[in-house]
Amino acid sequence: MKKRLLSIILCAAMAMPGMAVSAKDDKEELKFWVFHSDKELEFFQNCVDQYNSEQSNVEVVLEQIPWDDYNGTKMATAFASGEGPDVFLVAPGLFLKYANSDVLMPLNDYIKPEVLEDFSESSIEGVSVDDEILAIPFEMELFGLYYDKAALEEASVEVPKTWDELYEAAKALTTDSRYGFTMETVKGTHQLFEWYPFLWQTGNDIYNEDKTAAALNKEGVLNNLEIKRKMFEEGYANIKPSRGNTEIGMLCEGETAMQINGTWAISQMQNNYPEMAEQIGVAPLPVPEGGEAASVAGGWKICANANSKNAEEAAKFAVWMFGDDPARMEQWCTQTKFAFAPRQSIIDANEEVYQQGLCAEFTNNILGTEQPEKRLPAEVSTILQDMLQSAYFDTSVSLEDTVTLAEESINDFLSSYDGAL
Amino acid sequence: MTKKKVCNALLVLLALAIAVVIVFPVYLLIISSFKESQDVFNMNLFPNPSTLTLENYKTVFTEENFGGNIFNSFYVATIVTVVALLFHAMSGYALARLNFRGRKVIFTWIISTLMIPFSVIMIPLFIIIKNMGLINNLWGIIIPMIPNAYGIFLFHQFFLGIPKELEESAKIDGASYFGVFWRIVLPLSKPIAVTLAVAFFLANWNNYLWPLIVAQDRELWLVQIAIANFKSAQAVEWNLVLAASCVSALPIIILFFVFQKQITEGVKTAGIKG
Amino acid sequence: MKKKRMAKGKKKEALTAYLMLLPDVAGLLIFVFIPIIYAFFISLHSWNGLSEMEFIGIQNYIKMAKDSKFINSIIVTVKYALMYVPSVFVLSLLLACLLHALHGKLQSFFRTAFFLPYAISTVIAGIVWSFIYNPMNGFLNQLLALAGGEKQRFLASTTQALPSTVVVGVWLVLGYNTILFLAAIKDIPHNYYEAAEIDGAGPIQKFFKITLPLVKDTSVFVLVMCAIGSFQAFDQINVMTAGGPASATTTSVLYIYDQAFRTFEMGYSSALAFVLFIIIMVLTLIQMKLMKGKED
Repeated sequence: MKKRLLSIILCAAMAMPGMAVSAKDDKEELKFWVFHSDKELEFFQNCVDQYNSEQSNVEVVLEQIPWDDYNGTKMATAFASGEGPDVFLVAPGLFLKYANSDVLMPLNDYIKPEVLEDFSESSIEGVSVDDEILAIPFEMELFGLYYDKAALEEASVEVPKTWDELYEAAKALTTDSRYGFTMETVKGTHQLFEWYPFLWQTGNDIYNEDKTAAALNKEGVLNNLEIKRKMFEEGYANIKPSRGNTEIGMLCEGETAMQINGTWAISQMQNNYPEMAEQIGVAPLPVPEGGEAASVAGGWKICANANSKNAEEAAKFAVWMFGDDPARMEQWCTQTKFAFAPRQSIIDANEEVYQQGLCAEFTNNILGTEQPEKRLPAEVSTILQDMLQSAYFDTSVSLEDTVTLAEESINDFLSSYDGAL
Repeated sequence: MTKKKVCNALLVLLALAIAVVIVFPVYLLIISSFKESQDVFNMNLFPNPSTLTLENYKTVFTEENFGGNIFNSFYVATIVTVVALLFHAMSGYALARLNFRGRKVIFTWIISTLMIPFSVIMIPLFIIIKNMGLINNLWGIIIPMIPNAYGIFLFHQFFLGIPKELEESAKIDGASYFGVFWRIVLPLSKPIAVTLAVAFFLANWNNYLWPLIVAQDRELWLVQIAIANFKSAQAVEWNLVLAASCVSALPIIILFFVFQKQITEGVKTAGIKG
Repeated sequence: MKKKRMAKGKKKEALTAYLMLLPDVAGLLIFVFIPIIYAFFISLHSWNGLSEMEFIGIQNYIKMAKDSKFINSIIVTVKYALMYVPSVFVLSLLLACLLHALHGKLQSFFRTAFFLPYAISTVIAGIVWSFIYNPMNGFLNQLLALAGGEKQRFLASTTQALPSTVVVGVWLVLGYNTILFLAAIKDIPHNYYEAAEIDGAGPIQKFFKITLPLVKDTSVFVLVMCAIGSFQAFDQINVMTAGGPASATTTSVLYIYDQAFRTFEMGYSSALAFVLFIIIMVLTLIQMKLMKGKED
């Protein structure tokens, strides 16, 4: 019995090749790593198929990595051992790490000047270091304040326009089974991403103007942190969201009455909560008394690995994807999902999409107030993430001390840092 | 007699209470896996049966290659378990029973390999696997998972407790050291081997990070990677994650159920001891 | 003549031992030890995983002394271990005794029930327990409300989060360790207990005089592995709190992981791991010595 089992296992072991099928012919292979699934994966697959049939130099192979580990372990381990993909996607939070390590292939020579002109200036600025364009932005995601119209009506609360109103609204909307307001509580880049607009509304920024020191310890910044700390402490803000704050489900299922969320939530609602379409509204993020409206534009960028054997082909493919014919970016931003395109021609040509339902709110009231998401060195990003955690939840330390500590740490870091900022 | 019965009934009641507490989260997992996606976070202990659905399970199994991913996990976990058990039993025996120079040092060294978090050695290990040409290959997942101080340590502790008399009589009959191990000791270690087999199978079945790093192609994914893939950047298909997790927990439960008698029947050394 | 034969026998014994150890030792050497040495090499460098490594000597180790976050993470880890290790040990031993007292079908039923959580992956355990701990309408708060208690924040509270994660950690491994103890208890000859009964020993005395000393080898294993395991707890904490709120559940392993794969300080992260390694090593050796001492 035992022997038979063993022999079955051995046979299985030998029968199973365990090896992946290798390239079909002798064309050079380009590995393209994405983290998408379903419809979005399909989009990329179609593009890759099209590219493979249009040219005969290389064979692009699309590889899917689960989202949780795309940025972190998988990519880091691959690059650390020289096995990085030829073409990949990068978020603003990691852009500098790759740029400073000379991993990104400059794409200037591959992009036609007239195409470059079509891109918004700030979007190209965000991916350039010393005039070298190191990645191509292909989507812009903005933040807004989503709210449940019925809940607001029931509590006779107006859509909050200022921080104080936000606090009052959250208080009025909180019940035994629903929070008034939900924002990201988990430490990480997303929490920081959500915070930028509030920083900019106060007219401040992370560094001083010549980027030699941190400039966070300002009254406006402290006020913002104070209000949030208060909302968490008093239980008006969701202290433990049931899922990540990128999910509009929390608003649609009644866990919260207001939620900070991004443009992506619109397609999420269309797909998963079509019946809620009429009940959810979106407004610009509340500002401090007398402050200026601000939002943040995030979104992924495509780039080519400069250390790849076929770096030039990789660059050509990356540019073909999103830096040439606008059709693919247009499809991505208006059909596959909803996002603003960094190319003006696409926004102009798709008025019917951008003026529809909640999209119109973003287009008319929020678009134009955004700044590109900060590209920070990972160290600074970590310092700020820690600062937010401590500011929101660690009431044993005063806000002044928390912000001062973050400032000191950033200054300490800057004094020995000579990469791009 | 009645006193004993009352006592027994109380014990059963106690066990029942504890079991309810322990099993409750599992129940929660199972019941949630039948909920529609909007109801997953609806904290309802006894949801209306009409709101439950088999759809999640259907979707999971129609997911590209989910069956194949399960097979991969099965393949990896089985090979690691079988090979590891044999190796660890040998090591454990040598360390517990045989006299040789450096025994203590080797034992301490082996235990010490447990104390470095895997995330720290992951990159160096990946480089080694790359140099062996095993990237994107199931064997690249299997081979590094075989050596494991946990099993060696457990066997070592187990062999310490087996009475020496058993082996000595065999040795007098002229058996070699390995012969004693193979014919006398190994069969005795069935309970611990089965216990360990369950643990190894489970650890490898649930392994996520290392298989993710090694496997590139979707065909080579293990089941936990497929489950992680139900989470996308901005939205997680929680109902599918939960259903797929139930599916993936099932083999372990079956395995335990089948082998549990052997685990707990104890070694028949009772007569010899003392 | 006889001496020679003995020497030969000894040689043979040693040779057999080395051969039996060979596969595992070679495997551990290649797949664990060499990577550890390489990680040590990395710890002497500044490296983000992408650019060239830059040799900086022991600077990473110096940096650590001033790193209040690392020191805090060690405190969190020690607290975790102090709650986790005794809980697992005591509860699994008691559950094993309870199972041992039951017979036949009843025993196998409860054995399976107690074991069930072990089959759940740590990540999923984190998700399910988040349902239970949810501060708004989680099951634990529903239960508290029924009992007339006040709503608690659990994972969202800087003081309750760590104990809450310990509960999940214990829950996950309790069944397995119970089975280990049960196997050991079954091995205790029945006549020991009978003899004790004749001497008039009660159940508590029997437990301390017979059961506990006779499951010593298993106890050593469970205690050592739990101690090591508590220093490695990662998945369920990462899923439930990601180290928060603030840094209330940032254990050392979480911090090391963050440094490596979120801040990309591979060198510093490796250095942290080595200091942690030395701490665990010392603690484990002390632990083993203490337990050996009891035996004599």
